[in-house]
Amino acid sequence: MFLILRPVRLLLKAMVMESTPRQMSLGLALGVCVGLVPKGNLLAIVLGILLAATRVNLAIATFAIVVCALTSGFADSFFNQVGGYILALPVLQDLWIELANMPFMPWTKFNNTIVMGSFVVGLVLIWPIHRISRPVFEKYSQRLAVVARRWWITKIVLGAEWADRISAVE
Amino acid sequence: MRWTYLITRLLIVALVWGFFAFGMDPLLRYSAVTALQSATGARADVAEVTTSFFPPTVTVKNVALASASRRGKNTVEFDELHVSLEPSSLSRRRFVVEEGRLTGVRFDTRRNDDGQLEVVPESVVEEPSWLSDKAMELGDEWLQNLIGQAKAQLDPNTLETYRVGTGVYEKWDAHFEEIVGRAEAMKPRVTQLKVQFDNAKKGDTLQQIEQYLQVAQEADAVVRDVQQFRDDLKEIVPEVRTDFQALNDARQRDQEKVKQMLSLLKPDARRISQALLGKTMYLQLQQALSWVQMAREYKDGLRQQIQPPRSVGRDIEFLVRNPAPEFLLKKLAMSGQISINEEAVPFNALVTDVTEDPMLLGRPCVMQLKADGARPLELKVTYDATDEIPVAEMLADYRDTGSIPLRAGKAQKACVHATLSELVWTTRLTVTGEQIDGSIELQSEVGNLLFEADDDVRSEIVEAANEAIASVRELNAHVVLSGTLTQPDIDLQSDVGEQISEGVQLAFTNQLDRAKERMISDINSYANDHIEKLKGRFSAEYEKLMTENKDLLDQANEVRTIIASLQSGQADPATLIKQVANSRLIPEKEQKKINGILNEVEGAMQGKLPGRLQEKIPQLPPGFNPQLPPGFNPLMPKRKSGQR
Repeated sequence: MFLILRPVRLLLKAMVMESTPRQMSLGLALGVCVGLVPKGNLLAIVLGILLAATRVNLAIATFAIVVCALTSGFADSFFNQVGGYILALPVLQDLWIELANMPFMPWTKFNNTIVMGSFVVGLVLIWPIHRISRPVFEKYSQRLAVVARRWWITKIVLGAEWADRISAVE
Repeated sequence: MRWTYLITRLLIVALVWGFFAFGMDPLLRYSAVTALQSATGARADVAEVTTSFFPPTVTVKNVALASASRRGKNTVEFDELHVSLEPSSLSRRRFVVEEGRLTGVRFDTRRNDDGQLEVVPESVVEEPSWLSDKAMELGDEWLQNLIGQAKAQLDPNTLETYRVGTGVYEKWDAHFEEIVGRAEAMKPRVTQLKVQFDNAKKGDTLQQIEQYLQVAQEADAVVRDVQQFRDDLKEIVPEVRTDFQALNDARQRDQEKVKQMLSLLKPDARRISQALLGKTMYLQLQQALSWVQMAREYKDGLRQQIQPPRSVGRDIEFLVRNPAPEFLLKKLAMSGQISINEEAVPFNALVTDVTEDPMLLGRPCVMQLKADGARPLELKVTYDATDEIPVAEMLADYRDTGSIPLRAGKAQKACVHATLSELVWTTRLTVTGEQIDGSIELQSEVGNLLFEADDDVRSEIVEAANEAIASVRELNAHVVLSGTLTQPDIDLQSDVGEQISEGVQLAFTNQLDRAKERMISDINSYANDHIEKLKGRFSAEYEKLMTENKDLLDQANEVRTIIASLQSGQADPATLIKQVANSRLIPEKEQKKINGILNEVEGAMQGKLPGRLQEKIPQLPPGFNPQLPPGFNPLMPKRKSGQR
């Protein structure tokens, strides 16, 4: 039991470790950005790697990715229009051509209207989401931490020591 | 940097590495199976997919693609496919196979399962519809048709003589029936007249005369009808002569026709060729077309595989400085076994420049295949889609040292058997757009060429035909193909068809000469019979009628004459009595009696005594002839000298 639980506990600890309100809000914003972009292309992989490379709350980021991936299909027509507009902008044509002729860039499928549209929308949403969600996390993280600490499952999964450190304010 | 940060990122890196190391190949295998099953419509087995990034290679092992139409069979199976991808192209999302190797290729192998997917795919049409149509025209009954043709031409009913003769016979048969009917209808009247004559003979002479006068009117009508009947009989003579002449003319025309049509009776060489070689040649053609079709269709199939259905959204194509196809198979070497005439033959093949965009590549796709063994095959298929209208070309040289049994016709009726050996096939086929142009040539040795037939064909004919075709040792066939893929025009020609045709014709000739003579003889005898029959019947009926009614007619004529005399008012009673007495209307005894009385009356009127009275008055000298007083005219006319 211990052998099974220990790696999982280690992973979860790592994910919840960056748990300041700022890290949580950034995790949410970046998670939304990654979650909106269709998967199966190099752009999504790169964004995921970048997300993982940053010191944000990965648990919230993962949660945001999953939610956005499941719901972004409803906004495809909007992404399509946005992407089409951006890809058709004359001032950006040279950039796109340059990108199209660069190695590995075709794998990103940046020339797809939905990929481009969702990526741009995701990028645009990073700052507003961060700014809006940060006060919310500041306000509710303490209360959430108290509740979480009481959960028996939290203690089992993370251990008593780490359960106490949940939502330690920056 | 906190260690927790490092652990987290290292974990993520480890996960990514783990995916590429352990997850990607199974994922690719799953994708490959799904794509292949989608393409073939049947189960696809892929044992293993192995990838490497430096250098980028893909190795697929033990692949078996089940056949959607044949349960338990694989369409193709191979041991290993190894391809080396070009790294620079791969970085630009292009799959360029520098070199590939496909080994252990086998076609039409058995599977342990039925190989079918749960979803039943649409039925696959294995052969083009035109092939079925052509197979229906193979002409199994080529000889049967010939026999039928001969029978039809020798059928008496088709000859003019028979038609005219039958018509004339039926016409005169009906006519004579009518004449006989008229004669029969007259008989009761004649009989009645006879009865009346017989009745008239009874009683004394004057009573007889009175009765004769009574029957005179009826006798007159009978005589008129009989004479009309006789006239009618005479009038049909010219018509009978005309009909006889028509029958003769028909006979002469038929004789000429028989001579001519039997000389034209010859089996259709093309049909024989088709019956003998059609199936073999058409199967070869189908095989060739399937190769061409495969070459034509690979591009679309490839494009579908490379560009799977996209999700919503559009891909904007930007200017690429060095445009190139998304997929290019520069060179793929293949080896394995190919099935030729249901026999596995080892082969080596090389496929070059397979791409989904040949126009961009600017080079045609070429497949060269060489199979060794007992059935060596050299095949080259070129598909050039570099222009708007794609051109597919196939060159194939195939040699078969084995033997192929052939049969033309139905074994139960009439057929030709042959065995081909040392076959050399040469195929040249070009498909431009939908237009086909090409030819298939076959050269082979012929053995066991044998003509067989059932009892409908005389054994002499069979023997003669076999003698005639025994010299055939080689077979050359030529199929010229044109038209479109969906409606090709196929012209099959073969020298063996002509040879068999001539042999059979030769065999038939003697028999036909006999048949011709027999038929002409039949025509003559038929015509003569009919003419004689008509003549005989005409004469017999005519004579019979004349004979049967001759006496009656004579009597009626006499009565008519007497009546005519009476009606004219110029005859005196003595003359009338004499006419009656001299006619055959009265018995001879009565005639003598009447003549005796008349003589006595005449003598008495001239002053002579009757003989018996003269004997009783002896004092009167013989030759006593008292003179009548002047002005007293004798009642009876003077008898002419010599009149009794």
